Amino acid sequence: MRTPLLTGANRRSKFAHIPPDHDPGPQTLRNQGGSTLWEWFTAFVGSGMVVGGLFVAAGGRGSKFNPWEEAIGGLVFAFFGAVCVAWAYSLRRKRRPLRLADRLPGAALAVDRDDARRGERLSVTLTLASSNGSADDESLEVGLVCVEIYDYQVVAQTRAGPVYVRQTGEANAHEDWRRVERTAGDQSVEFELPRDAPYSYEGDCVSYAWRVSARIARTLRSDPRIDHAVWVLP
Amino acid sequence: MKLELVLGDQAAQGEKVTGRVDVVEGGASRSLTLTLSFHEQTQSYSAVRYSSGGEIHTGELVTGQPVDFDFTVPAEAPPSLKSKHAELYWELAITSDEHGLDTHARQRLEVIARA
Repeated sequence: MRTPLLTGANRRSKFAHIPPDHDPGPQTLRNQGGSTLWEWFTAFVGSGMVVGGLFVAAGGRGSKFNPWEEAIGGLVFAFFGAVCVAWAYSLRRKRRPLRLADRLPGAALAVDRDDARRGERLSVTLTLASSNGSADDESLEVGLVCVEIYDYQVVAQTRAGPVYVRQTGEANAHEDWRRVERTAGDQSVEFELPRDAPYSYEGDCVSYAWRVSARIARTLRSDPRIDHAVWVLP
Repeated sequence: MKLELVLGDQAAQGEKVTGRVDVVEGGASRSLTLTLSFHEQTQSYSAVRYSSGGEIHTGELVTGQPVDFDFTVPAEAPPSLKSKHAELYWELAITSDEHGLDTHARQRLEVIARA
């Protein structure tokens, strides 16, 4: 399907990494919702640990316990709870990145088409409503990214024996980022889809997803971004 | 029984492929079946997403006997692909149906995008 201009803000797809006209594969369907539950569970348990740990550290269990032991034990417990909360937050941010529009109001990303073959070129337009200055180390970039989504097995040792857990990992199979200016108006960038890179694929234990993104690249923090999924044909 | 597949390494989407099974050691076989399948493979998991085939020979196989076959790679076949954590590949398998354990011969076929 070819459309002259599709803007990221106007497009709606249940699965963010797939353009609207394409169907999800078994892996995508299997993973939908599961990660959300896991995030909330980890956040809930972690929050409980933080509250419980601080309660104990503050001497909440009464004077019959050694205050130093209570303080140290409680703080250690609260620390691990905080790690759980941070882990849950990072999972959520990985699944739902910060929105670029929150940092750059009115930012929009447009791609000349949703489907393209390897070797063809994609024309991308980033529109900014106003010039936004920011820290020098936070560059605004437009990129073409292919993510490899693959299943792997994790073995957890328990008292009842090993437990095998199916996990899904992600790795960039291709990425090409170009720095753009933070000036109001349209800026166009052209990308060539490499002939030897993966094509879009929705599988059972591996998938390949392509997207065009605009991001504010930040050090040690998640990048606010806006994505536009594209389907790359072989 | 020992079988050997003689086949080119590469084929394009929609291309007709010809090949041969060489019977290195013959024996009693009920039939010889050819199967073309498409596989996904990661370090821990694998899946067969497509499989198609049929009988290419019936009856006993004699040592030295060639069995010719041909098939067409599906026009929409996903090309073979290898990345850091996974692989998509096509495989051709020959199975000799025998009393007891069957004999197999397999070979990968690199499927490339139509030019």
